Amino acid sequence: MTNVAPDAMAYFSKPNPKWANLKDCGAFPCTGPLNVLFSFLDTKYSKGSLLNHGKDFQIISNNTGLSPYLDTCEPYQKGNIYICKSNSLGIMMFESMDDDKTDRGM
Amino acid sequence: MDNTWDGFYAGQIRLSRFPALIDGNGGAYNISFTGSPAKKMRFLFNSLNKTAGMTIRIAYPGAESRSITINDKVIEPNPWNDESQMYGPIMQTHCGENRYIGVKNILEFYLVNGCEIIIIPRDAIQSLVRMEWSLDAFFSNGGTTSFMDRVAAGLGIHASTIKIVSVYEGSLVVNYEIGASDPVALAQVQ
Repeated sequence: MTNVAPDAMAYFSKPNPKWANLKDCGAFPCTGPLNVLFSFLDTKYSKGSLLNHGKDFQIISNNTGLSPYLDTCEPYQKGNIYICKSNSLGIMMFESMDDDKTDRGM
Repeated sequence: MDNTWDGFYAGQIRLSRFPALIDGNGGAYNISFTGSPAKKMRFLFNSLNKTAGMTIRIAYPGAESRSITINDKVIEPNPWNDESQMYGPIMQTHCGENRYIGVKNILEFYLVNGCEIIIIPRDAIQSLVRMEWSLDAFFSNGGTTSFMDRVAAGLGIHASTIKIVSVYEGSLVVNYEIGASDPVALAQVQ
């Protein structure tokens, strides 16, 4: 990382409650911003860098259902993020494969 | 899911597909559904850590058991554990390792990085009955064969669809499974 201010590294905004409307997200609130994951591997810092989170680290959003409970993660309030000294975070995707997968919620 | 109706037709249809941020540090996660869980479901986990993985637990509202498949192959559940008197716990040895806890109707499986798992319904019911009887009396009165015959007669099904999983004292507990009729096997015994 070269010439990156700590406050400028990342900022994850919260899901906008107004997205939960028929035109955008329907009844289901769009929680995409809560499930964003940035992974940094083999990170190198330039001389004098104001940042140093180690070689491998991950950035996740301020997901109140998960982030505060991860031992490896520390909050960075200015970015509304958590910085995690970990590389095991990931994205799990699950979906219905039933015939009515587009017709009903679960 | 659909979010709007235009007369007879559903509108704004979208897939029931959900991404979730999760830590593959070898822990266990419970997934709860606010609606009826889908019968067939796909699970995929992606992480930069090749060894990342976690146990997933899903509590189902019904007694119908489930199977785990990878590349269309059914992954057999863990062997029965006499000590815990249920299928063996998830030891996180391989992707798809699983067990279905009958009666409580909980499916547990191990999901690792890059592994795609599909849960399919299994046409079987796992059940348990506790009887005020000793083990000796049970076996001297016909044992598992008589038990299967009586359950089959009571339910009006063929005895070949019943499989005894275990019998143990306490007073007397029988774990059994009722599966779908296999027409070929049924023809052979009839």
